[in-house]
Amino acid sequence: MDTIPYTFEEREDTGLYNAKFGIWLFLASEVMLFGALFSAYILMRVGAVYWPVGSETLNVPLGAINTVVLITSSVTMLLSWAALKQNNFGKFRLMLGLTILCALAFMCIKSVEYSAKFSHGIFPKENTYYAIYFTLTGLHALHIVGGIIVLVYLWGPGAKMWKTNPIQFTNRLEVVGLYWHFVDLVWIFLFPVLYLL
Amino acid sequence: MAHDINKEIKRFYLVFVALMALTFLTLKASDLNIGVAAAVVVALIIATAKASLVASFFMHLIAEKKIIYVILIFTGIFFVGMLLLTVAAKYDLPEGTVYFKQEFRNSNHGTGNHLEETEANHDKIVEDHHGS
Repeated sequence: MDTIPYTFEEREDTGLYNAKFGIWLFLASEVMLFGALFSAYILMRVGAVYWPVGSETLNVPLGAINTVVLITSSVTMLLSWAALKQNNFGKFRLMLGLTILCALAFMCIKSVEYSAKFSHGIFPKENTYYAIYFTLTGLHALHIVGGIIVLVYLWGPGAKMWKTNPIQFTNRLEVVGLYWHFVDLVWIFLFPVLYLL
Repeated sequence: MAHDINKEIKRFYLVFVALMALTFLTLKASDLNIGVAAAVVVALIIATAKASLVASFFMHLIAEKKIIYVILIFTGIFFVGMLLLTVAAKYDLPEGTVYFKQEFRNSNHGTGNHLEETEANHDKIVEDHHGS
């Protein structure tokens, strides 16, 4: 009784199930969204008379820890998907749970960094450097929050689908995984660009 | 099938180790005093290497269906186009625009978290000597 076809079987023309095709189109639009902000960063930095050194204004150790946390969460995300492929529901729950914990840890560390700035009276209006810093990391953090909501759903109520339609559920996990790796990938560029250069 | 997935999991761990090593490397590289231009190049090369690892193995792009590559090629073209537009903007300034060449550029080190002297820097990137 599927209303939307190709939930798990491959469509002939694309060779993909629809959700996977859809997430890649979405990720393409995400590249343009972050790309626009990166190009704004370049334009402002190149045109600026003075540009602060990231390592002197931001907390590099915290940023580095967050990089490690996000990469780790990407791996646990993959392992939870692989656990479903191996029919191991318990391991899936464990690994997805770890992914959610890593995501929450990332948000905690990020909020420590933000509140350190706010307590010094530094807000986006401080200068163009902080404006683009808060915009880029804020948008990225929003993506983490969105990811957490979906991951929690799939860990909790959404996991019921494992009993009724395991193939589609495994695909859902793969698709949210693709999104999650993309968010990780954005941070891989954000960290050196904002913190180290 | 089961064997396949085990092989893939091993590969995930290998990529994880490589990503950690590259993260360490980018931190070490930023400590070197090689000048801004060289530091940007080094940092971007390492970040691109990490991103390729994530995209190739975590996102399975190493072996995907053709349609996804087509989508990504178009995305790449538009992405580069957008970056080039901002570069082009720098060469299309209003007539008479003069860039400041201030000697205090990069001389404001060691003030910790807070930036002072921002007023002069704020958004007075260009000054128009034309007219008025």
